[in-house]
Amino acid sequence: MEQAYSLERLNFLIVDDNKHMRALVKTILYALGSRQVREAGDGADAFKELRHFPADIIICDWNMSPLDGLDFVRLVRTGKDSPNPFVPIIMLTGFTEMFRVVDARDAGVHEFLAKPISAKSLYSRIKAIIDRPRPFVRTKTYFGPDRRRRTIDWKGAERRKGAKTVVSTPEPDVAAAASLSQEEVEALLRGV
Amino acid sequence: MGKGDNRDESGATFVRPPDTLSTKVRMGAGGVDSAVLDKAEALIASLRDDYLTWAAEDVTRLEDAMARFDAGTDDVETARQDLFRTAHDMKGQGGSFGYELVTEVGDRLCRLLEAIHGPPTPEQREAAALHVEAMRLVIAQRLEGDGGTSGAALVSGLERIVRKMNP
Repeated sequence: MEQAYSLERLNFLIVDDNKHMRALVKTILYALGSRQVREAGDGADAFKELRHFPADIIICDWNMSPLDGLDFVRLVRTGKDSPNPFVPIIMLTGFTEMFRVVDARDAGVHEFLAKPISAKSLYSRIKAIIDRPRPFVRTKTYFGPDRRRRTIDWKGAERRKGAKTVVSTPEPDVAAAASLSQEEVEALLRGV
Repeated sequence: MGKGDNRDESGATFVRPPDTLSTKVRMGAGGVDSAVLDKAEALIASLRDDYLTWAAEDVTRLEDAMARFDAGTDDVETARQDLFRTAHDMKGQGGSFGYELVTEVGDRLCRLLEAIHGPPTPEQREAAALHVEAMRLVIAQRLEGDGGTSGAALVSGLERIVRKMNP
């Protein structure tokens, strides 16, 4: 029988600069039984919020300013004053090209959810985090959930040597720029 | 290094994070089962009227940015970014509310804008304007789902204009 998780006691933090998107995610979380849901309009506000709100799961948009989703994830994972470097993060985005998924994975996200979202797709990512707790890995250039070290046939620039990646002006090859399905994204994140 | 941490031969350290989720997530009654998920989907569907109001506001934003997206204006790049941001938002939301065609047109507009560097040529500007007009039509005419034959004709028209631009 399928396990029915109650999300009632989990604290969620939604980070998105679009108020309608925040409202949609919040509506879904409440409908799934969550009670503690906070919102932030960008990465900087979210980081402040984390100081006094012990989020269990963060649902974060990519495309925000001044601190975008990737910068925010890096700050949570490796910032010296990060309140919770281990918090699971679901990256919510319309960007599903392979090079972007690799960027998100290498910043330290747990799960990646392509917009447009549904209640089922969002819950499936939350459930994946609950079902599969992942150890964290610290290397010279990475701190985040274990990426299982899958070798990706990457033909673009080396991602791990630069601490920061400018995502607005990438010049990936054609394969890396092709959009991935949600299943392909999940396979890439899990290294299967 | 904390308890349960270990290091492999490459020097990577494996850390076991605090297991807060398993202590807070209960299973069983009140949990998320298929009935709860169906209710949640129905709740989203009930927000379609609200969505159409937001989407109409987004169309106005697109039209405003489109009016500024001209090689003759001072800040054409800001106009391009404004167009992209709104198209990207619409792409990300349409399908959630049963307007997959909004997602489709939004995606096409984003891709078109990503391929434009610097001031747009008259052809690029015309193509962007037609995408904005297509988005206005989808919302004004409530073309739900893929829009049926009207939606197919609209997408086919957008494909033609982009092909003409990049023969």
